[in-house]
Amino acid sequence: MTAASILEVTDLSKSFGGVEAVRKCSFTIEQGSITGLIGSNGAGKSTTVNLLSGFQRADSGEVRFAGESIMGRPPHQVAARGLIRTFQTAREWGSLSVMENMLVAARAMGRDAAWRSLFRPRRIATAERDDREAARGILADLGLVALRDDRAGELSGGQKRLLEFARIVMARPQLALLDEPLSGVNPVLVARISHAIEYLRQSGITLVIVEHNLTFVEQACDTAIVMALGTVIASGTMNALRKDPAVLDAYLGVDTSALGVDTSA
Amino acid sequence: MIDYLVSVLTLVSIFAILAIGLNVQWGWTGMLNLTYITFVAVGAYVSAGLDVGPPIYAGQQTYILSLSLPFPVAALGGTLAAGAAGALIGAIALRRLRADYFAIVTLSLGLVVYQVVAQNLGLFGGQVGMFGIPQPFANNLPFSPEEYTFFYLGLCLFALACVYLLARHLYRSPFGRTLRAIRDDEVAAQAFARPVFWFKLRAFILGSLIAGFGGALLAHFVGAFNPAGWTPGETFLLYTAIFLGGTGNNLGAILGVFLFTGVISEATRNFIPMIPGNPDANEALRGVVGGLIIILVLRFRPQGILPEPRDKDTDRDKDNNASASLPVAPATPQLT
Repeated sequence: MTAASILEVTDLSKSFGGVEAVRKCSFTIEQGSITGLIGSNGAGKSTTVNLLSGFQRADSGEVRFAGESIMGRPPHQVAARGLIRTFQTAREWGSLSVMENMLVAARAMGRDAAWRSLFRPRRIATAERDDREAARGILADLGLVALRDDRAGELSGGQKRLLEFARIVMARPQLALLDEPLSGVNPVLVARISHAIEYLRQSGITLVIVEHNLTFVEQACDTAIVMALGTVIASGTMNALRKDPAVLDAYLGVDTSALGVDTSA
Repeated sequence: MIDYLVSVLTLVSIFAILAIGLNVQWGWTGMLNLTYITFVAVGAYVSAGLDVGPPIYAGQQTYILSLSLPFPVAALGGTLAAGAAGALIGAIALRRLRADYFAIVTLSLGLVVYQVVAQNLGLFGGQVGMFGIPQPFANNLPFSPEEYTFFYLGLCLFALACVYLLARHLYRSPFGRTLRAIRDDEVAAQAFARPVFWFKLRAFILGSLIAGFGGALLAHFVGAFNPAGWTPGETFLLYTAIFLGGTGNNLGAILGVFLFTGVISEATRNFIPMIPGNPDANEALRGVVGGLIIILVLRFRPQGILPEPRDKDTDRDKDNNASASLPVAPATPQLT
């Protein structure tokens, strides 16, 4: 593999009962890229995200993140190494304020141990002040700073998504897996989400975006990985994928028009 | 009358301490511990066992321990014993169980411990319980028995103030904030690198420590402790107080105990005439009122009288003039 790859997935497999949700799935993510992960329903995209982030345990295969194996590690350890994921719903901490959501998302560095709050109050206070400062900057960039004292549960669907992106920037991961970032977002706000994704990239975060909206993937992503029946069938730029017979086959009758393919040709 | 008020206030301040501990577990972290009172009992029994002396006359009940230690050591021992029990139970029950199964495990655990203690005379006096628990510091202070009740009230109020300030500090700290995030969405907390199990365990131990401390104060206030004092129903009385005062709000827990234990329960005890031939009716009425309060609060004001405080972020550079933030006024009840 090239030195610039941040995530290397080799022969990842997972079965539920007799169903092979993911089988011998392999791909590589380049550092600093934005990669779309596409495929029809049941292709194994969400399971792959769950396996990579540690929320489900793979049956076999190997995942190397930033040069280290993260197979079998629980989700919080995967996240602590710099791989953060989102979910199909926004999953904000609803009764916490927007600012508090940012502070929880920030790297803890052991700061949230109870004894530290009791015996190192000044050090905690300094660190908190820096975190709040950084959080205000990020919230301002994403247009949420005026809402920072509101409870996150009271935000609109689109604002919750933006808060999710803000939390990711706050956590400063190396790689973020965005699981359907457009679900639950008013189409009018799609442009703002695109802007937010560009903002994540500028913050130096490598992105993998699972998405159904292929127009969006084409706009936002450098390359895409196509999954079908639990495995990777093709990868490359969207232009190249349009001509790939395996991709056409997998998508035929499902969503051909979205790929912009003229099937009569 | 004044004796009665002092006694009620002492009990209210001890129960307020207990409610704060339960609030750490339920209000902050969302762990439904249905046997909180068991950890209170651990603190009460162990602290009493540490400072009750050996039998003076032949035939008197002997308890295990019987170490005649001074009260501060005994109270600390009771507190730590409850914390250790919390660590043990939490380590087993919190690891893999979903919230509702965790609640079932705590409930059954409480019933088991209750039977073991109640049936085992040699352990803590069985059903009869322990008595002759010494009054803290009484031998070193020149107080008459009447004056001593005031002293003990002061001691309990001081203890309540300490526990409250500790809880307030931790609630706002990164530790407390992480607990509240886990309560709101523990999957998201995991995705942001928080080891959920360890945080829950620490919150469970913290709540158990407070329970044990309150239990030590309770046993030494009453002077005796037996299984009738820690029936499973007692836990529900504390939950009622927390729901009423405001789930998650430490001040709310104190207010809820004052209103429910101090005012409503005492009213059913004293100001409603006894029904002849039904000596248990008033006690039962207390449970009915408690259940009714939970239903009404959850229906009409689920956040309780005092809602959770909200973080106010002030930017010193920009909001120099606006930074004198006003305290949030309690919202008016909304009948939706």
